[in-house]
Amino acid sequence: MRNKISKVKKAMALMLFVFSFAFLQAQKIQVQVSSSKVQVGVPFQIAFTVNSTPSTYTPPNFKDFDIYSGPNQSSSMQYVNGNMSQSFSISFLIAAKHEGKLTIGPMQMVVNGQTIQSEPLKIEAVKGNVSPQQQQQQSSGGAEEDPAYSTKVSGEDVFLRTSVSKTKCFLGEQVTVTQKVYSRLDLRGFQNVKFPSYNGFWSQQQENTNNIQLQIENLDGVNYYVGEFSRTYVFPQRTGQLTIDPTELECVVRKQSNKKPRNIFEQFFGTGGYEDVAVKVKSKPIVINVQALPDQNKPANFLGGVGNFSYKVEATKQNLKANDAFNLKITISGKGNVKLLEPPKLSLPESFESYEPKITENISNAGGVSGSKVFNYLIIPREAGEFTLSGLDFSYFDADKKQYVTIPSPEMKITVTPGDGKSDATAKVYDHLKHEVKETENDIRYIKKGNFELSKNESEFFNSTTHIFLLVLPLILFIGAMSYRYYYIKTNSDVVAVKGRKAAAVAKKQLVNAEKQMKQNNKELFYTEVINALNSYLGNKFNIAVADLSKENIGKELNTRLIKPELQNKLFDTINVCEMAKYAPGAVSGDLQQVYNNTVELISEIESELKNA
Amino acid sequence: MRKIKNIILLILFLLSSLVNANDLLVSAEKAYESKNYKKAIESYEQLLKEGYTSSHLYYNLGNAYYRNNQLGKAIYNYERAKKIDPNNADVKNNLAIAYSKTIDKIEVKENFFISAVKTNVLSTFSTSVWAWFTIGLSVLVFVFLYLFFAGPSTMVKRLSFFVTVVLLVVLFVVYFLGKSAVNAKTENNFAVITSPQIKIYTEPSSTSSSKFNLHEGTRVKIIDMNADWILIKLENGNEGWLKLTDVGVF
Repeated sequence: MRNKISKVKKAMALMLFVFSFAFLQAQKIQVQVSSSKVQVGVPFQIAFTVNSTPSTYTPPNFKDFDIYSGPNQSSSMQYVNGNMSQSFSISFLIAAKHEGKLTIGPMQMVVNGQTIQSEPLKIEAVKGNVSPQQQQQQSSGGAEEDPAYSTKVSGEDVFLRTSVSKTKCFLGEQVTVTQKVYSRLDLRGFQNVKFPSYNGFWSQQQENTNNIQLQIENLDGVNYYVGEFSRTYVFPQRTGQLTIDPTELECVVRKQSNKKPRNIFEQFFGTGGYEDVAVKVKSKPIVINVQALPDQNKPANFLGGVGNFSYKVEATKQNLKANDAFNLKITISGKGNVKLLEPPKLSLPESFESYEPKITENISNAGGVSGSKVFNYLIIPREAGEFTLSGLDFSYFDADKKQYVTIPSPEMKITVTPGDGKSDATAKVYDHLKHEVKETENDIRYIKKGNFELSKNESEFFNSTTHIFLLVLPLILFIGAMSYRYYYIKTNSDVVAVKGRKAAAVAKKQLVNAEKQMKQNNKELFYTEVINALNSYLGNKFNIAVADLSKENIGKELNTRLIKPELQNKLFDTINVCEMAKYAPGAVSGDLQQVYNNTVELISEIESELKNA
Repeated sequence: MRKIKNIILLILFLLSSLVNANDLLVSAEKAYESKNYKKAIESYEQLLKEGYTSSHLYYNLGNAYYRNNQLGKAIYNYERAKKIDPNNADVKNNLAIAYSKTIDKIEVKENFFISAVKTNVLSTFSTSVWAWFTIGLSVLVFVFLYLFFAGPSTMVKRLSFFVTVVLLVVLFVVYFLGKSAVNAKTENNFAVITSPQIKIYTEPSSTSSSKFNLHEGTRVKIIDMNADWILIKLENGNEGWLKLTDVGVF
């Protein structure tokens, strides 16, 4: 492949050689000017033409002219009657810088190894209507060095400019920040964009469109291609001087290279000689003076909105039962710092419970930040009644008019009918709120008044000696009761002994009967009672059956118990008297009282005798 | 003769002090009403000095201290009132408010359910009432025990035996409840800091290094005690020694 190309090159060179020989004598540069008399600042064309293609050329020094375009090359070939004629021309579009007779220097060309020169050309320039800035620009720009032939791209060829819609604004007011690239060269693209951090602002960047529309803008008399590559809406969050940091980016521009065309094709087709250059550009920082919102006439319900808003309040239900929930929807929409709006503070009736609102935002950035913010409050009335929701007005600050605007909301009537008593699930959610209410008591309660009971610091009764003694006392009593019981059972178990012990008592009872008879003077009955008493006493005492009661038996018993004989005699005497009176009532005429006394004496004497024994 | 004279004098003194006590109470109340809290504190403290105690007395003294901006002493007296009458709503309320004003924010763990129930049960009756309960139960136990031995029929005897056993168990339970009520009343397990700010030392000596500082009104648990120093433990587990004079022990 390479071989083929070099062969073609060789053949071409040979051909050129042959041709150039043929036209060698005819080489001459012709200079053509559209007019020899020109106006200052009005472009005109100048062309240098040769009959052969030059290998290099040096353009003349256009010291007194501005170059608008060029060098523009053109070439043509013609065959006439077998003869080939060729022409090559280099043209410029230039304009005179000032009045007077101006000279365009010679054009040098190397054709077929020979250096040829054109004749200098004289041009008369007359005064025209050209802006002085343009002149100045051009004189400082490229007098010594043709910009078209420099790899350097000066700051005036490409630069970045950050502009703001205003440098003095209110807190929260929208400011538009635009980043524009200005270029005199062909803009191909951008890379490595570093946007500022917008410290102290809330910023919202407008969505970038991929196509950046280039526009031509005349800046200080120079035409620039202008591309707006970013637009950001910022809202200052602090007062004072806020700085927007510089933006940095690299612009890719296409410019003509000062490298010579490498070969004929590059030269021929014009593809060579251009290259893409990345140029770093940086904008200047911008200071924005942020003013605080005026305190004067500041509404109490101001939520920080700056811009232009509309406002709407809706309730999902206006007739409901106690403990049922309804939603209060507050919509704020418009242009401005929508996103930074705080939820409105509801002043609800006491029996209304409300949640933190659910907030939804819908914000668009096209042509300034606008959108809507919806605050959705869940509210549960706890008591029945007619309530009016008022004080839901909305206020914002209109930065253009520099004043606060209040949008009143219509009064909203909520009718709450008594609930069905059942505490539903939502009611339970609010239990913690009730608890809080209970704990709002925040001061101490008052002292106890009056003469309350004061007790001396007495020693503890519990476990004291008295306590322990009283505890043990029932045990002692129990033991006492048990031992008495034991003794009682034991003594009562001997029937004879019991009878003996009770003999005197039994006899005394019978003697009481005898006394009755005595008082009624029933002699017979009296004696019977006395003898019965004596018999039962002796029987019980000495454990003798009534049938066995004889004087012998009684005497025997009395003797064994060591009863005195006098007492024995007295006993038997009494018994004899009684028996006599019983069986022969007429024979006895004794004193009844005497007998009775004797009997009582007897029994007590025997008792005492027995105890002493 | 001298002894009798002394006793008469003592009785006279006690009688006069009783009259004096009511006067002090009234004057303290008046001082509190006229916002002369210092005088109210003096009068109530005088009553305490003379050996009187009452939940209300501590409560009123606590209020006077609270109004006099002596938070530590206010809490100390509320705690003493609470010890005597743990379920008094006024005491509880004022104590909670006083605690909310303390500087040291140490999370106070609520009593466990069981200990809360125990406190409630124990504080239902005074310790003397508990003592009389045990005496009454003791009488019943032996009455039924006697009936078991001396009952007129087998039925009565069996029933009496059963009742005796049950009553005996109840007697023991009541005795131990009473005993814990006495312990709860007499034991000093807690202290409240009454000085504005104190240092907590690593050892019971002011030359040892201090671990941390505590402020007025903080409640601490007493672990150990010697003549002038107590070892305390905070609810968050921190331990250290502090001077007995800086706290009120209850």
